[in-house]
Amino acid sequence: MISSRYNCTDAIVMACRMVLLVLTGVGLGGCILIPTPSVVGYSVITDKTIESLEPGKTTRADVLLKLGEPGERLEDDRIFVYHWEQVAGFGIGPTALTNDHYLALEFGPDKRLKRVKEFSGDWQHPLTSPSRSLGQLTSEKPVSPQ
Amino acid sequence: MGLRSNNSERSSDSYGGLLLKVYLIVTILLVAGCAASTVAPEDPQVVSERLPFIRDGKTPRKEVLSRLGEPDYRHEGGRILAYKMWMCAMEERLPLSAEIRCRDPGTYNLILVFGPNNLVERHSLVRVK
Repeated sequence: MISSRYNCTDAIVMACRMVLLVLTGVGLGGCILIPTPSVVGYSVITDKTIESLEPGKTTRADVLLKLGEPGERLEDDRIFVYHWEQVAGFGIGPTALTNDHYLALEFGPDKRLKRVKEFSGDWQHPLTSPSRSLGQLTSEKPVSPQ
Repeated sequence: MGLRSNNSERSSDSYGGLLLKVYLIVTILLVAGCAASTVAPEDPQVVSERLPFIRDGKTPRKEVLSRLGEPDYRHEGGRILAYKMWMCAMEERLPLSAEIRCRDPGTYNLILVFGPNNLVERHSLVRVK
């Protein structure tokens, strides 16, 4: 009787472990099986790298040597935009929930970094769309040197 | 009967432990697949080994253009040139290439900054994907 009760509990524990294993495999399967499309942006730009960019000191050449080509070049290279995605979680099956990150760098006429702006969100979402932040940046007129 | 029950309990425990270990290993491997790469310049040695003709203060623009062709991007009136390049992780002996030669290569940008004398002043190879 005791032995039979033990076997029953054991079987439940084993079944739970198997379910966990299968769920993990299915949930994380996207990392291995589904390759990231080549157009989806760049590798992650770390906070440390962003902090190393100093407005008034870092030049456009310094930025390119450190981060490579930006995804977008706006207004005759006045603004560089780097884009990357980070996996925020997993849905059912291989669907990964991603969070878009943007790093906008504005340069002055002296070819030095003027402003660093970082934002994230979903382009499709009316409230969190980064297009709003980017629009604000591009709508500002560059200050010409006195 | 008691002994038999103990043996069965022990073998069930060891089986469960083994399963847990397998579960942990599989989870670690799967999570490792999600690790995102970060944008960073490669060790300068990578360029000096694979593109030895590029030397700061020595390589003229003419040589760069004749060896690598037209750049993919230009900045500041051509003072900065950038080339898209690919490198295969599994085939380390292959040089940096301007075309995709393997199934899943790393994508790089070769950035060359020229000085007023039209010689390479600074350069870097940045892994972007």
